[in-house]
Amino acid sequence: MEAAILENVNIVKLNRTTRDEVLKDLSEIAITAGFAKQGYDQAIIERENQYPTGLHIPEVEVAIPHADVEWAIKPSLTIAILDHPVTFGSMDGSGGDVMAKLVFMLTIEEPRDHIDFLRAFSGVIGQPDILKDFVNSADPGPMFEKIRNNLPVRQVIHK
Amino acid sequence: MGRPAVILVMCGSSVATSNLAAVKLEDEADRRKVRIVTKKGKVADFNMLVDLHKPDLVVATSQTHARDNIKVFSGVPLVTTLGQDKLFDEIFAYIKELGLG
Repeated sequence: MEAAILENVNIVKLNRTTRDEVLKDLSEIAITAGFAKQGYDQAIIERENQYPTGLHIPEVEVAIPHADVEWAIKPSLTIAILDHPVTFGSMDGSGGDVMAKLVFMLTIEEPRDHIDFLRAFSGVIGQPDILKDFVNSADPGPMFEKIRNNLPVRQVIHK
Repeated sequence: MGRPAVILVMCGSSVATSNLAAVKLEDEADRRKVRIVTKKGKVADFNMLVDLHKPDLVVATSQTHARDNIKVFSGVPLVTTLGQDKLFDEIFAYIKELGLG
């Protein structure tokens, strides 16, 4: 089973100290690739200011920034592996600030089309071992394999 | 059991996490044979959504203030799957406590 988002992936290693620098870098990649509109960087920074996306995962904290659908052209995932953890706010405010080592920036143009991917993705981001492997190797293969395995097998409907 | 529990599921932008949380809640409710209705929305529209849907409880992935003694659960465990089972137990125990589902 495939997921549209996994067709549009970019991965980058960043050596940045602030959240906004990371978000700008990721946005530039997505805009250049035709996944997001000009202005995505501003939109995602504003959204992160109001509704942070940091998640406390043991050992490898992450953030999953994304902006409103109007800014997305194609569904995509742009991933940053950070040389040094960068501070993001915690999504539900609990546990203090998040020191994100991995940032998964999403562009989603139609939420209903990506629920299966998000569910499969959520099954993977809560697994520190998978994330640690990815951080060390920068090879997304095993991580994406796990995500794909989590995707539902579609039933074939015979008319 | 009483009528279906109305759950307001909210996040910052209605793009990703509230949709994910709602689907997981619906699937779990099916599994437990408890009846729920989920209503999705943005935290910015909280007051309007509460007036409109009169939820029995709220599951929010972003921070939100409380209102009218409506219980608010953090939906973050549904995003990370960490603590997800415990959260389901808490939510469905609360629904049962309210005599709903």
